[in-house]
Amino acid sequence: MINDYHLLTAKLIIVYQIESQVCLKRKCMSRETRKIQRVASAVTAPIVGCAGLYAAWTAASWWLENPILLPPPNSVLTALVSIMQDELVGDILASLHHLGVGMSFGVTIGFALAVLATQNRLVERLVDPLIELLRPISGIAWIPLAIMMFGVGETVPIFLIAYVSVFPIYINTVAGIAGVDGRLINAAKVLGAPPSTIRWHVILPSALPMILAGFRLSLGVAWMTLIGAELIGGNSGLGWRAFWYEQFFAMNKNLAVILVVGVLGFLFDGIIRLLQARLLRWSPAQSGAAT
Amino acid sequence: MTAIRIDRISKTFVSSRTGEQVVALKDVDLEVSQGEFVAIVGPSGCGKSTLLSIIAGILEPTSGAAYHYDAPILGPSPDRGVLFQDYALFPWLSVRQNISFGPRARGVPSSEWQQEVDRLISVVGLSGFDTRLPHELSGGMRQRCALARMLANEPRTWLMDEPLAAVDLQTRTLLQEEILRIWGEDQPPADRPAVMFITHGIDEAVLLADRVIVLGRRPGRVKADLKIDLNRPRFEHRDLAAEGVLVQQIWDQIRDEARSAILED
Repeated sequence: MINDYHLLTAKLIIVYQIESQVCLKRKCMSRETRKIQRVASAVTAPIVGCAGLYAAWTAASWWLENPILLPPPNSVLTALVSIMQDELVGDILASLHHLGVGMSFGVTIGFALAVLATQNRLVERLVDPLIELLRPISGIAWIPLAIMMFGVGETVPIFLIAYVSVFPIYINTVAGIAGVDGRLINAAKVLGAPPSTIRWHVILPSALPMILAGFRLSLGVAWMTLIGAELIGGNSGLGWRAFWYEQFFAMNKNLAVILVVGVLGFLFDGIIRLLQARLLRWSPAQSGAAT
Repeated sequence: MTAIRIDRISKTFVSSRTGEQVVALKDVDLEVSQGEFVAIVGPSGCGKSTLLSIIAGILEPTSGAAYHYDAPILGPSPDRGVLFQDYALFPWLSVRQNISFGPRARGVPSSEWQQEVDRLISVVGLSGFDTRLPHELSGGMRQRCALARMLANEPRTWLMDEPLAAVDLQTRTLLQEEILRIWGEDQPPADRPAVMFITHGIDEAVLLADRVIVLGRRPGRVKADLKIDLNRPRFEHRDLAAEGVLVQQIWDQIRDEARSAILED
């Protein structure tokens, strides 16, 4: 039986993991061997974690004996393969469209407001309290209003993503610009740099670590909001599709979509971390972001 | 020819928290001639750095005026190069990009500065390190890079704010010698820049400068102005006995205030 095989594999990996940890503590082996062991441990540990979840899930679905309540993981994987050959690509593209358009608006607005707020006291006094007031309200809270205003369709998820992604980028950009080392600005001034050069070649790069961290937070919260917004207020995309499958009691497909959501979110974050590591190579504190 | 003239400058800071007024400088008069190396020493809180910032044009005096070659100082100018204690290198730029920052920021075409930047990289001993980032350099190398960055603008006056305070003793000695060499201590005064060099080290001031100005504290004011008549190049004819006498003379001026400065801090 396939599940027995999986359990056995998981058990073997766990045993290997423990063995390798014991070996690591012994100082009997060469540096190369230890390095290989470390890498092997970095690779095997996540596999062990996933295998553990897989095993627990399989056991729970056996115990419940109800594939609608909790479909076993292997049926979810089968469903994943089947939707991959079918509607999944279109759903992913629809969600990416919502994400791309929504974030373009949200990040542009958040960044522009932050730059204006740091340049102008009046703007800061106008904008800052509004941001602080709206920020604690979950994006989901606006779904009913958004549906009333735009009707069910792609505008609801786009609007909500734009809304939620404003806040992290705004707050981090303000903090990044406020935190620029005044000594660097003075250094640029005495070297003869005009204000525009200081803005683009001193303040912007100084604030970039914070801005990118804000972008990463915006992307994370946008992706989380996307699914809810599509599920309730959209007519396309992964969130909408997950809900659609539920209507047909195709819970294995529903979970397959959720799995895809998780994997894509993980990938996006990985891309941003790579970007951070690449752009912030100069910052010893930040260049470790990808590791 | 007078390079820097300070005319009755006072600077008062108001604490934003307590509203308390601190007089950093009080009626300071000072002149530095073209080609002259002037060191400024004094206890903590005597307003050394404040004075330098005013001449650099990054701080405005409360009263009085500063002049650079008879033109009133109204803001920063690439003509007055500044070397900061903590280097203030742009951490995202390579050594070469840092050094060429001034000419690039001023819009000088690259054909005009490429060669000079290459030359400066070798003058300060950073050949082979030009693509490194500041965090990959040692403290001494960072200060060499900052020095080359200042020199790339070919300033007529060097303003140096405790440039060697953060490097180790051996590096400091080497850099002192290099600074004198690059300044052109064997050149006639008309061919070299005026230098205002702020330091905590009295021995360093005596070793490098033509004149040592002692500032007193609370309020910051000129307490003494000593001519250092030692032969140049200094590192070739070191006269440790004569240096020692001068150091002692200056220390006598500072001792009491330095002690009270420590007690207050």
